[in-house]
Amino acid sequence: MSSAVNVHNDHVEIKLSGELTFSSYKEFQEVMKSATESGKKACVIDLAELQSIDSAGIGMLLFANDETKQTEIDLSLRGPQGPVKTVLEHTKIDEVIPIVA
Amino acid sequence: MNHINVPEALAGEPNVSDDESTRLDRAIKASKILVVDDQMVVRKLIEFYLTAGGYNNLIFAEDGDDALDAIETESPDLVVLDLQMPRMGGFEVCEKLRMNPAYRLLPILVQTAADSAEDRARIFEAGATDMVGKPINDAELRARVGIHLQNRHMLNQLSVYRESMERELDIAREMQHGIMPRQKHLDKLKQMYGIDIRAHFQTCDALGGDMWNAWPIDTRRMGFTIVDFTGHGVVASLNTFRFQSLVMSGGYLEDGDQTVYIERINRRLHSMLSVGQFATAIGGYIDFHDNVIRYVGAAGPKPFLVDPGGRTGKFLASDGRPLGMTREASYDQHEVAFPPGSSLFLYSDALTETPDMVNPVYDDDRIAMALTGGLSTDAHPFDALLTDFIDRAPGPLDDDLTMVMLSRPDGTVEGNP
Repeated sequence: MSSAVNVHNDHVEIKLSGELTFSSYKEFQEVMKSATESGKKACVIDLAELQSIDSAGIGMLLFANDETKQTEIDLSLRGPQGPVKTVLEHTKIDEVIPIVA
Repeated sequence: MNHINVPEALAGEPNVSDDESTRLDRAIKASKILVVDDQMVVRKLIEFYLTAGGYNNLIFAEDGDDALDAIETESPDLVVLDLQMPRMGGFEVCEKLRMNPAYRLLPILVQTAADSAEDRARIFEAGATDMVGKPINDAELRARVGIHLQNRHMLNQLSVYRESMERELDIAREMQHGIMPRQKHLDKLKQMYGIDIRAHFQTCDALGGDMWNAWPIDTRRMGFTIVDFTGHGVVASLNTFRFQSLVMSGGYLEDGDQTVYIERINRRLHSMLSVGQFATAIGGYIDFHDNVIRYVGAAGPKPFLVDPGGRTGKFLASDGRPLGMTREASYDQHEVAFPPGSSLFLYSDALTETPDMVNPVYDDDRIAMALTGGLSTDAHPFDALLTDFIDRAPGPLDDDLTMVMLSRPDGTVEGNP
């Protein structure tokens, strides 16, 4: 998995590409840390270039959701595609973390 | 000098307590060392150096043949070997030893005056573990002996630990298989309801995060479930045991409404599981009197219903939030006709998901085809599907695979309730 963090005026954007799986854990943690420490009140995880996600990856998103809630940051997911979109829909993640187009 | 100075590469091992260090040191000092040299003076000198270093378990050989015999009968932990000996030289001893798999890892310290890179390469190619210069320096001898004995002991300990872990995992594996219905139980269910149940449970590690169950509720209803906890291996399996205990505490249809029960299970699981852990599941019951299945989906893979006759079928809805994901979740019950001759196929997502998820090995269409007689074979559709999947899967599983098929005989069989 590769990631990029961009800080905007009112939110911080995390762009993920590749696969979000068990082995991505450390990198994902670091990325989330830098996002939550950016001082912005909102965080968007852009999934447009994410090719696949497994149950561990979903777990990581849920964990990120928990963390951002605790630091009062609004978390949302953006633009999931293909199989990633299917998996997120099937596991009803949108009922837990808002998904924006 | 009592304490061997260990070079940097080995110093700072994680988590070796003082007690362990002492034990390790004692074990190293108690090691049996075979000293091979044709000259008595050299043997005496080496003996002197080693005993001064705390090594008192020493045996000696004068030539290659004696050395090989001594290794066979005494099983030393390390050999100090002179290269220049009449009759059988050190090289030959090394080569002969390494040909025997039993001595593949025996540390052999060669004494040599060889100086050139070519000579050194030749020595290592012959199978020596390390070299100590001639004339022998006592500090160097003790340092090299110490390192190699330490390695040997730690490797042995690791080996012993691994064996004991494997034994424990074997037992744990048995326990995990024990929480799922065994053949006797399935035979009983067949007797009670006429239902034929086939199942495949394959973990990708010693233990898995999947489980399934089928059980009698009353004379007209039989419950079934398939559950898949996030991850696999030991951690995921602990959750299957937790789940088992959770459902054993009863109450499944006490309120008459299984959705209330599942909502309760969800709450209980949520409080037990860490953030990010959850389980996908399908659960419900067959009512053999009303000829229906009533089930609840918690994001488990869509079950496949085969119609009587076995030539047509369809996927059933599976919605609902995974269990344990959020504190509160609401579930809906689905009801589908399940007349005699029907079959229900349940499975974990290892069947339809692959690492890249772009080109799955097995997809919905293929499942449907396999279960409705599309694979030209006389085998039962369940067996046909399993064989087909294994044939097409590119390698060992990277997730646990569970499959269950519940088949009602058609109405001509006697003894149905």
